[in-house]
Amino acid sequence: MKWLHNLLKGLSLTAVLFVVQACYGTPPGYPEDYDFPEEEVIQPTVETPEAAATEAGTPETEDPEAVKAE
Amino acid sequence: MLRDTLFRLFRANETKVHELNYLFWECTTRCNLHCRHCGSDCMAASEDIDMPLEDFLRALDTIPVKERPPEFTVVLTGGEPLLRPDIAEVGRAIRQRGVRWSMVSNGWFYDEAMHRKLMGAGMGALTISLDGLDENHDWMRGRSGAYPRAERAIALAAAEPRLNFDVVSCINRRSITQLDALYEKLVSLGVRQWRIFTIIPIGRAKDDPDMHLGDAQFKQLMDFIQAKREAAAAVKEGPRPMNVTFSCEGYLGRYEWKVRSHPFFCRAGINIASVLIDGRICGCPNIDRDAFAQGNIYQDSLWEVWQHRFHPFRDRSWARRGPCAGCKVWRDCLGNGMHNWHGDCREVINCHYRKTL
Repeated sequence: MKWLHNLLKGLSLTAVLFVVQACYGTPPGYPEDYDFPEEEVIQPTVETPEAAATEAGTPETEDPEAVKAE
Repeated sequence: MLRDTLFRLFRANETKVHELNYLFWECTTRCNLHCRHCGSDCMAASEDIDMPLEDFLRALDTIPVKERPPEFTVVLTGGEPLLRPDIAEVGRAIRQRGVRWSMVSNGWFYDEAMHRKLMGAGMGALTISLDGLDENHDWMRGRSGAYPRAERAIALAAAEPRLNFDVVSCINRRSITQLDALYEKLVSLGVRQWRIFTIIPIGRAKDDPDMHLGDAQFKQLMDFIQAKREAAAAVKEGPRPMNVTFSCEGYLGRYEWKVRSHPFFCRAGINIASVLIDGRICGCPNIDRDAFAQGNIYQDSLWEVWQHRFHPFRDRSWARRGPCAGCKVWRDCLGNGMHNWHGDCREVINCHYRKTL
C-alpha cells in the first residue's frame, strides 16, 4: 500500500526504517542536513596548499591507469 | 512482541511497494588490491572491460523521474571504482540527472586531489574499507602499503562535512583481537560512523579459515558492538560518540535491535538493484548472479525488469528449505540475506542466527 508507505515515510518517528543501506554498500545519499542545489558546483571544504597546487584528478602518488599493467 | 509484529507488517508493505532507491553500478571489476575476502575475485587485469558510461546512463534513464524518490542513490562499486579514468565524469553525469551518487573504495587512490575532484562531481556519500590495523589490513588486502593509504583516505573523508561517510570493516580472526584499538584509531581520525561485517564463504574466502570467526568470536563481536551502542546512547550532552553498527547481512536473534538502528531486513530486490559489469540486472552485487540475475540492460529495460521481475527477492518462500524449513525464527529471518544463497541454493550457506545461540 503506497499510501501507508508514504505516510510512514513522512513521520520522523519511523524515519530510521526508511534508511536503506546495502550491507556492503555506502550510506545513502547526502548528509541529512545537506540540501544539494542542482546547479551548484561543489567546492570541497578540505583543502591544503599542496592540494590546490595539484592538478585536480591526478593522484599524487600513482596513476590508476598504470595499475592495469600490474 | 508488538514491536516485532509491527515491523513484519512494515516489511511486508515495503516489499509490496518495492520502491527502488538504491542502485549499485559495478562500473569496473579491475582492482589494484588482492583482498582475501573478495567475493568477486577481482583482479587488476580483469577480463571484463569497464562498462561504458553511456550504457549505464541509458539504463538509468529508463527509470522515470517521477518514480525516483528524493533519496535515490547510485552507488559506484567494483572492483575499485577509482581505477576508472572517467570517474568524475561518471559522477557529474549522474548528478546532472538530479540523482545522488556515492562510492565504495579501498582508498588507495583517494588523495586530496581525488577528494577535490569527486566532491566537485557531486559525490554525496563514501565508504572506505579498513579491515585491521597496520599489517593486518595489508594482509587482508593483499598489498603492502594499503593501510597508510586507507588511513589517509579516511582522514580526508572524515573531515568533509558535505560527505555522508562511513568506514566499513570486515572482521576476521586477526582483527577480532584489535576491536578496541580499531575503535580508538577511527575516533582519532574523526570518523563518525563505523560499520562492521563478517565474511561469507564465497570467492577467495571460501577455503580460508583465517577469515571466518568462530561462534564465540562472533558473539564477542556482537557484544562489542552492543556495548559501544549502549555507551553512546548514554551520552546525553556534548559531541555524539562514533556510531558503531553491524551491517544488515543477516538475522541476529537476540542481538536484533541491539547492534543496528533497525532490525534485519534484506532489501535486495525490494529497494536495492544492481547493474553488473556485463549488464546483468540483479539485487546486490554480492548475490549469486548466475542464480538470481533478472535481466540484462543490453536486452531489457532496467525499469521494466524492476517493476515486473525480481519475484525470488520479493517472495522468499522458496528459501524455506534445508535448515530453514523448520526454523522457529523463519518469519523474522526469511532465509537470511540473499547473498547467503549460492549455487544450487539447496540450503543457506551462512546462518547468523545459529552463531548467536
